Amino acid sequence: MHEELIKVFKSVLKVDSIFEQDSIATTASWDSLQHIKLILAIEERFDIRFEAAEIPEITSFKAIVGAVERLVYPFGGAA
Amino acid sequence: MSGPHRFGRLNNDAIGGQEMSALKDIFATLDGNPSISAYEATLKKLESVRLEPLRLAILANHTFDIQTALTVECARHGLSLRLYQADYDQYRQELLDPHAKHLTFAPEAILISLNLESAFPKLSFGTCASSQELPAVEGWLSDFCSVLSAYRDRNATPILLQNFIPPDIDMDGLLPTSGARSIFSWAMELNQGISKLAASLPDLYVVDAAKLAFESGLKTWRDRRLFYIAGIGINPRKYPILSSQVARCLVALRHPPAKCLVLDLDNTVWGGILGEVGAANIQCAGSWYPANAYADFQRALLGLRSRGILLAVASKNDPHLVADAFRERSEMPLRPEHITAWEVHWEPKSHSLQRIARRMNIGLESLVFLDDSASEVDLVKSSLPGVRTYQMPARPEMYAEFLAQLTEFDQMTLSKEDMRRPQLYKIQAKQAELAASATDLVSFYRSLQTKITVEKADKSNIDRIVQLFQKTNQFNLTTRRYDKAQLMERLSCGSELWAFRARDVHGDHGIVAVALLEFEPRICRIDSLLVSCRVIGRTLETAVLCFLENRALARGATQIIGEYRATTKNSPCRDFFKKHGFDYISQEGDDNTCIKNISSRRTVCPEWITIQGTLPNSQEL
Repeated sequence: MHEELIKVFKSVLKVDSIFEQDSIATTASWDSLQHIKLILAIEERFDIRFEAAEIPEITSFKAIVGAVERLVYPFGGAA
Repeated sequence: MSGPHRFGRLNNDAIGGQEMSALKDIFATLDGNPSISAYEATLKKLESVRLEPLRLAILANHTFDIQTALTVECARHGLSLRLYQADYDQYRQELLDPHAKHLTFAPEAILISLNLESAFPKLSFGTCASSQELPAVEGWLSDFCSVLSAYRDRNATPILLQNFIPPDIDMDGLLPTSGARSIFSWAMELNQGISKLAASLPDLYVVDAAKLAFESGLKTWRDRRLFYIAGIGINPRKYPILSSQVARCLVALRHPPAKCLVLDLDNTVWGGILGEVGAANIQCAGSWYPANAYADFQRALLGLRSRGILLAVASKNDPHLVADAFRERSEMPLRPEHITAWEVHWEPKSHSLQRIARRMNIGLESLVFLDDSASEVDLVKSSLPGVRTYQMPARPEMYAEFLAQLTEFDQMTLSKEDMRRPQLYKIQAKQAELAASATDLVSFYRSLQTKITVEKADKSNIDRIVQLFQKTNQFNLTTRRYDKAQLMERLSCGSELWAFRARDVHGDHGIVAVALLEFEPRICRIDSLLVSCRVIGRTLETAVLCFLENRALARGATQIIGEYRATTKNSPCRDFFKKHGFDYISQEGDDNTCIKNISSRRTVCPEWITIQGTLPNSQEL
């Protein structure tokens, strides 16, 4: 899942690499408009749907990984 | 959405072979998996492909980040999008302010995207039509109309206006079933008002987003989460569909549509192989399958013809059998008189297509060819790459829909000349016969009884004039492709734009020639002179020049200057000025500039052509 997420980040944010600690504050190409695209691209890739309230909150790679895991593995036990 | 036909207009001259193959690879990958990340990845790949630049300004009243999808869909049609996006909800200011930011960007077109809930802040997703709280449609429309007309008074840039996507929530429950107005029908009234508004102002075109939304599921066009948290009015997942439509409009604004559709017969126009099953058994009319599907396809062909697209036939068949089939099966919608050119024999279809183009006096790139046979399609594609060639879908029930989505025939407006073109080309074919039988050329010219009426450019004829500037290739001395905005600017700087209408024994040809004159002290310069290929070769151009010389003299000029700028297509008019008593001032390659002293000698109008002056009551532009 990590690998697939990284692919989505790279193509939407047009970066060569993405790290755990990267966020909307540290990545130049990650602004509020790209954030929406990123969210939609991730939703599409994993066939999940975030809640309106969490979309503006999950603005770091780590937070997004956490949110995706919660939706993909609702009963815990991520790969 | 995907499929080979989506490359529509890509075969245009401006794109090189290398770019074409790069694009095909890029879009094959994208269409295999058209996800949001794939669109982003495509954007990056497109950076290295050289395409025709196009400048577009987007004005919106909601968050409308369509750049990626729109850039990608424009590239599909060979356009490299340069975008200006106005600030959030600044569309009125941008349109009203004579120093608005988008004006410095100098866009070639403007896209206005309006979101219903943002245009009517009092309206919410919960508004109930029965509560009588719906805003008045007329008030909003007249206000919007005044904004657009104020803009149009200063600026001629074409505007694409995206209409409203109707609400997908209906708080009135079942009440509208008993005749009460629903919020849906209110929004559709608004959209009808927008269509009327577009028709009332020049160069304003509607992008029918409402129709796109119905086609792909109205509920999926809004993402309420994104509207509430970010003011996003249209679900970004729908940007590709909307972009594809906008790109089609942009291409149609820039490139003329194809002029002629060439058709195979067996298993294309009708079902079955005529030579095997006989005229009585081909599937072409009736209430059973597949005859009804083929008949619908034929009706769809007639629809195209009514839009001015010529129909031609290229079939490997016995010509007598084909003639018999059309006679015996007179109940099929397509009639022989609907076909402008016939090529029915056993020669290669590439020869047929070349002959059709020559006979109609149009280029190969103006032809679209349809055949059910993969091998015929491949042969034509490889020998005549300029012809847009498609294989018919696998089954006849898909034929009419397939024809409807071909973008080659996209046109933004329909002129009277367009609608009459099929008849006019018939006349031209008759003239070719007449010319052959006339004992000498002069008696042929006399037999035509040509009458020319000269008009100044005005509101009634400007669309046709612009169309001639865009489309005329063969008799076009300088091939300057002015658009409406550029012509208006020249007129405001003192240039004169003249249109020439021709009538003869065969009927009214409409406007067939246009000239743009520039004036300097004592000198008149013919900036542009072009004559429709329909009337080349009957000395009409001499009569036009005679008028222009007299006009120049009337304006106080003693000398008239003409230019010829060579293109790959305009050699028929290379010696035009020299033949009419001009002397060369300069020659460079095939180009030349000529001058003539009109105070001492002038072109004489051929005695077989009468020429009449301008109409007194022309509407000013």
